[in-house]
Amino acid sequence: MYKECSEVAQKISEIIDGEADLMTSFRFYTHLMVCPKCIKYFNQFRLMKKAASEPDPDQLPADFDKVMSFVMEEVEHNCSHG
Amino acid sequence: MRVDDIHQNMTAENRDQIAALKSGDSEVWREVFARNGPGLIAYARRMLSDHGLAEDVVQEALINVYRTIDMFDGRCSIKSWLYRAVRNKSIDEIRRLKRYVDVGDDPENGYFKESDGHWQDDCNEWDGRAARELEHKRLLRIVHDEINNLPHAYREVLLLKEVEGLEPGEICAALDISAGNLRIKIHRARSALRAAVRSKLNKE
Repeated sequence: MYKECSEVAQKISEIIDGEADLMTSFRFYTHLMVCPKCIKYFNQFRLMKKAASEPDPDQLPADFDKVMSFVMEEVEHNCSHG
Repeated sequence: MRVDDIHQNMTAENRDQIAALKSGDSEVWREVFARNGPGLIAYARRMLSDHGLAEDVVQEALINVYRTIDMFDGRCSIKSWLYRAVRNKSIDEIRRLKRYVDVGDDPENGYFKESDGHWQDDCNEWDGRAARELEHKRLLRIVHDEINNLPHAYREVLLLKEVEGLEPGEICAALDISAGNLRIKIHRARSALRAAVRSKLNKE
């Protein structure tokens, strides 16, 4: 297992993104079994990831119509003359 | 899967589409823009913190993509190419307006004792309310506000990965960075976000 909490902290993102190999995961989770502070830090990262991936409750829907209309005018103008 | 492999798969999947774009097929352009446009606008808004400017930036970036499509070599997906164009244009604007916020030290500096690599006292303390409040709009508000306050190099990776849900290979291509560099940036961005949210929660 990882002996130092600093090593564990560096691996947290790999773990929560599912990118860690088997040995890294083993060393990571065996450290967590004996280290409440690292469990807390790990849970905080998981919470950040979950919250960040939820929609922003106050974000206005993206209005792409105006941009689309302008950009397609350029595309279609060039296509018809191209 | 290595990033190079992802690029190869993307190339195979998108070859016909890229050929149609290069031939000037306006319906394919419309379909590509319609599919990616809302995400690009949302990304630019949060990079720039300005809705009007975000629309201008996306519009200019998409027209530039259209005009320079012959230079697109197909080594990444068209989606990555679009995000790259919007990202580069956004960063240009942020620098022009002198609003670019650079990253400071590694957010985890000072967290661990040099003697044994274990936690310094209190540095990962968090009062525990956060987990209980996750369902509440208030916590989401804090997290999203603090993402918007992060230095741009951290903000952009979190927006692309967590908010827009791009795959690692797509993000590497959009930001022109290696997979290893992306892993480091994402970890530091999350660490900075966690520190900012913790600070906000502990003040309330």
